[in-house]
Amino acid sequence: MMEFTTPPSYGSQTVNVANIYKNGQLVSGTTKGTVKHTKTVLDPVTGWEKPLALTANWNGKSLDGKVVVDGILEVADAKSIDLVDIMAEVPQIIKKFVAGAVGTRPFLYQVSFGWMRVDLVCADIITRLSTDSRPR
Amino acid sequence: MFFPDGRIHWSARTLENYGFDERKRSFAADDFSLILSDDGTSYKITSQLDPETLVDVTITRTVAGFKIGKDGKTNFGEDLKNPWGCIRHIFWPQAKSEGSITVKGEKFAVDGIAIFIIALQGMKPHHAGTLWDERGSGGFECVLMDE
Repeated sequence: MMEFTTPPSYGSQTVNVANIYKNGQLVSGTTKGTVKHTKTVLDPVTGWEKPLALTANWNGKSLDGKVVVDGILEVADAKSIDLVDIMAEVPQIIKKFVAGAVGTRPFLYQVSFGWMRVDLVCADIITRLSTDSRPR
Repeated sequence: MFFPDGRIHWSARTLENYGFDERKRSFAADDFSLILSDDGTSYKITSQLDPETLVDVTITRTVAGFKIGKDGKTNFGEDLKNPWGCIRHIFWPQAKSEGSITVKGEKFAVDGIAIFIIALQGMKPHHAGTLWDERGSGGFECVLMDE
């Protein structure tokens, strides 16, 4: 699933693209997925809310449109692996100006999560996969 | 590159003298190339841009590619017929990688599972390839990109 949100100058529109493959075959493609950051923390370095947990819903249909194919992914217990400053090579003074004038301060968080739950629903067949590696 | 011991290696370099081939499917620059195979199923990526990060990797798709609509484009603007700009995403949700990345003189094999995403941002082309060698059990793989 891929989701992005446009800046306020473009109406803060959210675009979501998602698909589900099973055994190498496309089962469902959709633009109706959603992603919600269910837990965040303000990162003082970037000024952005860093995601600690999120839920994604695929909200899809089968290729012939007749059957609901929906996936729910829940992840939590974020272990942040890497933070990349996308404008690292831009001089600091320009970075500050652009951030102040236009709000542009791009960073890339790559996060792994300690806990994951996946539910895949296809009509009345439910396949559930859970991985829980939280320390007990 | 994320190493199992927690080390991270990141490399970002500027491309010089870049250009596309006639079909606009392959791309090269000084010390860098991204070439689509004749049958369209694999990309070979080579880079000597950074002497500490030498790349020689081939990504081969293992399932059909995926895009939304005719051309995978998201158009911006108020007039659909004359969009101000667009971004474009095409996915290889399952692929395999073969080859190596040499980090500071140490060569690492990067054979494994991969996903490959083409993200074309407006007029600035950008290919994003991600190597991912962790597979959930039960035959499920999830990929999530949130921007």
